[in-house]
Amino acid sequence: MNTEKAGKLRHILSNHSQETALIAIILIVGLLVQIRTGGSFLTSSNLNELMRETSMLMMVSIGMMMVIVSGGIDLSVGSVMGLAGMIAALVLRDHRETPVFVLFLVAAGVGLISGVLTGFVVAKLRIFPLIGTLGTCDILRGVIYLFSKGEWVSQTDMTNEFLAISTGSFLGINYMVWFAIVTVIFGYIFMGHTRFGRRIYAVGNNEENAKISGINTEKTKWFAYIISGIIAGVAGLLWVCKYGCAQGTTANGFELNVIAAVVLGGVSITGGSGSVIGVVLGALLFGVLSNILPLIQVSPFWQRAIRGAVILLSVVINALVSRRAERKALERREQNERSK
Amino acid sequence: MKEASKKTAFGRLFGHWETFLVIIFLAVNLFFIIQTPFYLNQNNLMNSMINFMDKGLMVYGIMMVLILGEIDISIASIITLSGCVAGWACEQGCPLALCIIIALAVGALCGAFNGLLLVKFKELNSTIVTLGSQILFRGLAYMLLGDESLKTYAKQLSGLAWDKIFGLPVILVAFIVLSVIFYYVIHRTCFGRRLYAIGTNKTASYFSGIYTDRIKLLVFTISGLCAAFAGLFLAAKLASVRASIATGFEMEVIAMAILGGASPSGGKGRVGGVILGVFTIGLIRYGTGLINVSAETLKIIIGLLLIIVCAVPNLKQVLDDAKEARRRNTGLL
Amino acid sequence: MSEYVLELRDITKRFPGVVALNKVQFKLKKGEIHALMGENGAGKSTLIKTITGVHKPDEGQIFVNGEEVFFQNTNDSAAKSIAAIYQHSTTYLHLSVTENIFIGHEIRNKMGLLDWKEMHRIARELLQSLGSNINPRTLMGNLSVAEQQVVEISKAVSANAQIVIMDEPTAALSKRECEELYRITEQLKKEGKSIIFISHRLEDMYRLADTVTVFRDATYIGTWDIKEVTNEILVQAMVGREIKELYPKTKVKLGETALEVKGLSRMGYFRDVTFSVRRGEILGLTGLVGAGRSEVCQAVCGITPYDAGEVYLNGKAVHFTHPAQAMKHKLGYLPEDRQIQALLLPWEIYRNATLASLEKYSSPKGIDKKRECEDSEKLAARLSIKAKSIMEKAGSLSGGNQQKVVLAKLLNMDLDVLILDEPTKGVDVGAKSQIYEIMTELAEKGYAIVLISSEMPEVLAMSDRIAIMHEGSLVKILDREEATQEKMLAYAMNSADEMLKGGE
Repeated sequence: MNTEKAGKLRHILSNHSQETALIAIILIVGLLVQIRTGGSFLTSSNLNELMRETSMLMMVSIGMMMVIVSGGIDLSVGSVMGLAGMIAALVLRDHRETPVFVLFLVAAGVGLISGVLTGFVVAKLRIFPLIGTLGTCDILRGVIYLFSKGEWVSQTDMTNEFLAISTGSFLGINYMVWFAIVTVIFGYIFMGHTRFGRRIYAVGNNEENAKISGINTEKTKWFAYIISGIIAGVAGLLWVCKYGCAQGTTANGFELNVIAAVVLGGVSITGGSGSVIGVVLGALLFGVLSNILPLIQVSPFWQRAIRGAVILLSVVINALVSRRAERKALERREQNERSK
Repeated sequence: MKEASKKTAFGRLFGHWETFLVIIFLAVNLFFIIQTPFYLNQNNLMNSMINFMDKGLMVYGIMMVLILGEIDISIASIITLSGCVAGWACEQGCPLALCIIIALAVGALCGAFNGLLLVKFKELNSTIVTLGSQILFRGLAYMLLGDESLKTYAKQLSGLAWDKIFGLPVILVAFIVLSVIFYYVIHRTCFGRRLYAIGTNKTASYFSGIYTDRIKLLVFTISGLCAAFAGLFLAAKLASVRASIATGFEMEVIAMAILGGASPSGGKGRVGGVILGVFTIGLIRYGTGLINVSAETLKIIIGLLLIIVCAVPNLKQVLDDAKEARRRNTGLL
Repeated sequence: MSEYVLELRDITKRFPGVVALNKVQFKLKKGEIHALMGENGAGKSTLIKTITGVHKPDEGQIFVNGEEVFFQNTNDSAAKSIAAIYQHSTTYLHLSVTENIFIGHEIRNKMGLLDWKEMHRIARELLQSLGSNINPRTLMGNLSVAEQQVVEISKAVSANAQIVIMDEPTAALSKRECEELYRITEQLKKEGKSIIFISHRLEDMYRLADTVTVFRDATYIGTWDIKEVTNEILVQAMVGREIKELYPKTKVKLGETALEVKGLSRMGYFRDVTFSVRRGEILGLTGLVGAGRSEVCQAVCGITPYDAGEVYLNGKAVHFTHPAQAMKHKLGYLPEDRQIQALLLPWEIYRNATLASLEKYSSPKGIDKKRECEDSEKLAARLSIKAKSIMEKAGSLSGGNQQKVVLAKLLNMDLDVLILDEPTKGVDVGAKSQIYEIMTELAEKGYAIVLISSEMPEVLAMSDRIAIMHEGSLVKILDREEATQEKMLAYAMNSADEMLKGGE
């Protein structure tokens, strides 16, 4: 019984080495910073701020993960966030009596439409995802200005009920974090426990094979973009809520943080593999890194370079790990052949 | 048999991308000529060169990357980093010539860095590598300069932006020279032939004795070098360098190359087409400027153009599949 | 209810440039193991893909249990209880064993969510019932080829397949793993399932099959009961032509040693391989699929690396790390998969023919296209490539002519040692004999040639000596005079001792 448990543990560790490594890194980094800063990292206010900051990243990363697992990439999520945030904020400015949940529906709707468009471009028109979404990224960014006519929506245009979303809490946990929790649970169930989610994996794994076995690969990919769009839309409104303003450059370049978090979480950039837990940890690690840099007095101008280096390093490390696994498999094969 | 003839008819219509492109080019020109009398003003036209030709200078680097079947979205950041390093060197008292060499060297190094990563780690693709290095390179520029902007270097270069050779802007002359060089390299040399071979079938090319890795490394280096070269003109135009210049350039350059007939699936594109692509998008930029279209609307236009242009070669396949799906549905009923 | 669970009538399938199946028949009875045999390119794999709905036949009818069916994809055939286990397993390597088994017919709980616990449990039971203790939670990519096949079989069982198709399942398996597979296959038969078993190995067939059907050159040749069939009948049916006519091999006076390979090893692929070939000689290199023949030769040519051993060209030690270096030393390789490894299908014949020797045409004014065309014309005439002109695209040619274009590319270089990897695979009979003629001609001119081939008659007829590989080792080199099909097969399966003694 005991050995079986130990075997199970070993199995979990070997099958989830990425997640284990991430947890270890987060803990070590957290601890080091805690010591270095004399305790200003692990304070409840800082952690609260960290979680609030990371919640949007985490949400959008879940959507991005679905797209990347399906074999694509979505550079337009930053623009979707900006657009959804702006349109919902404009609705609020012009109709102050709008209930908050309607605003979220509006934002989600804008995200949905954007996702349908992006999915159309990539899945239906079959444009190379990087280039196609680079295009939709700029188009949607441009559309923000069409709606806002270059104006801002500032905090004074917003209602208190709306702004309370970013500050209020339920069961001691900030509303924004609740949004992230719900998204993560949804992602976990969807990707792990529904047919549709598993089809996304199948398509990313082996598109040709999926197609001949009757999976509608086009629809599957499209769907991934749509979900990613909806999540980005909601996250965009949260962004507006947190920073108390909506402008043309809202969440500009955020997609790069998101991709960094997803890649950190061990999602294969060529599609077909990656876990929601990994992405959550990746986003958390990314959030921790962004949070501690100011704490240990790293200039904000360094953060971008660090982010780029983190992306490159993590894909290189992933490649090295899989190489080692391959080499081990070959060694095993060699031993087999020789022993015969 | 019947199908074969249908295919060639379709091929005749859509196969010659250049004919298609000429039509687009003429249509764009016609549109603006009707819209505004200032469009054909030679002075305006020449002065506008500096506004879009800097992207044209990078297009051949990207084009070669696309012919190989790869992508490079780090070029805009390479401009920035090379410009910032050179600008910084200038502030430290380096002579201009040395600064220019530094700028070009930084560009080439950045490109080589991309290429090296791709060659050494075959598991990675150019999407993620150049995405990462795009952030890294600009990040390095921020590390170097913060939000400072440097003027000395750019001012010394200003001749590049405003001087003329034989009545033509320097940048146009540079583009013409580059076009001739790249036409020769891409369409006349063994190296060029091998580029297309790799983009068409990488494995077969390798088996045929082509040094695929070496060529990939070289092409990414050239792409970086082109970006740095374009960066000289951009710095001259802006009269300063800072870590935020050239943001979003990659999309327009890629759009120019793809409109010109290159394709991210590799093995396609001709220099002649790409020249037309550069001028089509450049003149859209110029023309919309004349009729007071905002920069944001322009973004939408170019983004749409990029998507439409990418979609056209796939349309046949998409339509065929739709037909197939419909047939299948009625078959089931 | 028909007597046959599966019946194919007059099936024809064409691909651009080739007829892959020409009005073929196939009948499968309930509860039998039916062996399907034929040389490479005879149309076996296409038949399988037609049965499973990957390809749609251009003509003909398919009946399952007497009822005509029209499959659009593999889901449709799965719905009729047909499952296939392919030669190159078509699995999702990043997904778990359980998921590979259940994809397409997942089990869901009351809430409509996937019931992993239940699926893992059933997967474990399935695997155990097949006598395997693979952990269903392991990722597919971490399993060996044999284990992956077992998973594929349990997938077929879990889908309650009544017709199971196995495409060369033993090709990559060791002897012990084969025994395991035989046991499982017989178990399936006992459960009343019908099995189509495709294999090169006569041993597999005698061991398992009840009935044998032979295909040759995309046509149906005949069906025999296993009890009445003999080796001669089968070989005759599979080869089907007068061997002397087809193979124009001449006696050539051998020169000095051109290529010598000593103790070549690469971890996981092959070990301690030693052979040599002399000028004017054709060395046959044979063995079962997966024995490591191509891997050895690719390593010799610098296409893949090797860990240990030496290679000598004309007595000089060489170590190539890139195919271009090998070509410079006059060593050329014709790859096995011409469409992926050799040809640029969208390119014209002439640009394909000159790709590897571009420097010849380079001048300050650029590549001399005129000379390129002249040379290609000459080569096309010499190899009698059938095409409208050398401007035709390689992709529009038939298999045989495509292979000739690849040969043209090799001949356009200055080479004197050639390694030809399955040069006649998927090539029609006419082109085949032309390729043999070219080989003979080259040998007469003093080329040293290594001929890798799985086709035993071809190896027997064309080679001066025959080297046989088994699971990464070179087990035997036979002289032309002493070689027979039976001996070659025995060495290729590494069971020479028992078979040759017991056979007499």
